[in-house]
Amino acid sequence: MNDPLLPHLLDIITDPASEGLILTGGFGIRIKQASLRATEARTLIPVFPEARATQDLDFFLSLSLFVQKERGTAVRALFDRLQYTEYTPQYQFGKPFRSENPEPKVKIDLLARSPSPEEGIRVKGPRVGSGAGIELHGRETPEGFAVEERLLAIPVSGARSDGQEVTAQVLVPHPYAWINLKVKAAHDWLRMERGEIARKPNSEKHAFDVYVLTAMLTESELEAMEEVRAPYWNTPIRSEIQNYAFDLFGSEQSQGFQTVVQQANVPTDYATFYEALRSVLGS
Amino acid sequence: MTSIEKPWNETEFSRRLQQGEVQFPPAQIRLIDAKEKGTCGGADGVLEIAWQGESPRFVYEYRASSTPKAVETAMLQVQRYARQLNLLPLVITPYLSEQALRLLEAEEVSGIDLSGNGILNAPGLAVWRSGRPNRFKESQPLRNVYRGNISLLTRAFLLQNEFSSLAALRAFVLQRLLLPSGATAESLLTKGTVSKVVQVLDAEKIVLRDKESVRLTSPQRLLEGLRTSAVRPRGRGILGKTPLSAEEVWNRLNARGIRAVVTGEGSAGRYRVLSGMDKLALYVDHLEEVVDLLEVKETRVFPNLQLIEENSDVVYFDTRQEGLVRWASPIQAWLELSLGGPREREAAQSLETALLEGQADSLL
Repeated sequence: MNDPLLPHLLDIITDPASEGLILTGGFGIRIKQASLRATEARTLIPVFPEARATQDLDFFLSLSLFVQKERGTAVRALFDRLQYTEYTPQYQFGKPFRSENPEPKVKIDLLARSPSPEEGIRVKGPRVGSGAGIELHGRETPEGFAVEERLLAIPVSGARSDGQEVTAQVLVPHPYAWINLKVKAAHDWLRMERGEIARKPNSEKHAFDVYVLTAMLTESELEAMEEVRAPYWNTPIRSEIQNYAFDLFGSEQSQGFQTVVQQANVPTDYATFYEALRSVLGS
Repeated sequence: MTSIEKPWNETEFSRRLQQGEVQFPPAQIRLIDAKEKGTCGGADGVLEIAWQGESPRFVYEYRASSTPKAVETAMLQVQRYARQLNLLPLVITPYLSEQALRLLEAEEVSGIDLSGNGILNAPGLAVWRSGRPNRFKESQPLRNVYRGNISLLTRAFLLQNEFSSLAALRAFVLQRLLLPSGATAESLLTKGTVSKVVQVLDAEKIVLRDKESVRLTSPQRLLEGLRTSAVRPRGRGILGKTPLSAEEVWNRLNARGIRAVVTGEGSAGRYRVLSGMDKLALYVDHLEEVVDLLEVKETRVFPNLQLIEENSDVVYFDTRQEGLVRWASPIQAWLELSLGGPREREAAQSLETALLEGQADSLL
């Protein structure tokens, strides 16, 4: 895999302190896609579109980092050691791709699911882990409710930014959690299109990501879906997202699917995609 | 749009030639002598073609049929007359394909057709014109010998390249045909049909028929004919999941006496030309019955079974039984792969080589 973001990911995940970071976002999709291609795994739609390029590393923080505080502190120390600076206090960081050139920049976004009351983790405003004293927060993301379930460890190889060739593992969410995250983000885009909320640039990418993630499903992932979904079946956020999916992709002419068609670099397969999406989210 | 005409017979051609209706513009054609006058030694006639200050004379032979065999026969005949009369040889037919033009060029024989194509070879004159469509529709004894049940007779020559008689050819086909349970082969492929198919193949110079036998002479052209006429099965189908193992699928189909065979593409793995398919794809002749029998639930999400209803006999010809499984003929596998994407077409090449070398029966 040849991507300017890869050395920076490897800098992080080769450090033991990174345990508890879950890579999502566009780069997570690219990493999973590269792994599926390398292993020639059978996927739902054999020819899936190329995942979009990105400059962001989006990490969910395992809530255990706020409980075992020395682990959380170690993550913050790792970012400091790698010379990331805070863009937004405690949850957005960045640095130039190359030290000799201030632009472009690698950006790290830290996110966290909503803690349950029993977990005893403080949430203040959008910040999960406020007051935990580890100098890291996760931006609260309720749709990430299942993000810590059945994480997938993907081997990644390449050169770190110091030039050393390494192999490490990165954790990515189970497709159930990932697709829920992306359906919610894609539905926000739909609401922007309808003028219900303020526009944010490039938001149409989320609908495309839903298609790519669904197309990349393996049979074993799909078979496990019901089991992964079961603990959340009665939660309001899960059923809301299920309805969002219908609103977005309910027909081949739907706005959600049409933006997928426009962004895909290969022919798309609506019938297979939508049947599988319904099977993922429950119908 | 040019209307399609019936090919002119020799009398009609002669009349139109005399009236100056046969032309190859900008060259001017003028009839010098005709068979009716009896002065051109049995040839159809002599004509002059004037162009760019040259006006060479040709002895010509006209054929109302444009089949490769008709062109070749006319060519051989006119070459003989040309030597006798010391004139240039010219073949005229309703239509000359690129292939026919290349043949004439290689034999240094000129040819023009009534559709606007032609090749002229004469001192100071060299013309090649091709690509005009055929204005004439020849009445064929059969519509297409490469399609439908009659194509089984054509396909048979790829499995055995010589038959002692038409009856032997028919018997061979029927013996390799998997019939529906309880059906008989009596009414299939009558003697008349067999004769017509062989007549077409003979005219196309794909087989040679003599008193002794009928034998394949151009396997390459036969494959080409099959490929260009091939169509994907159009029957109803279902993509779905069965909870049964492949072994149980075949057990149930065989026990019920259902005519079923793996598709050609699905059989590619068995012929070692393509890695295994991720689902079992079958032709069956009673879709609903098989759906129930195999407990199939329709889905596009990781299906493990594809059923295609196919009631014609073509896909059930020359099938290969291996244990419980019935694989498609290598000919069917080759054809379906030929219609596929780049990877499939590459796989088809390996099978094509085996078919050309007469190795179809050694594949499985």
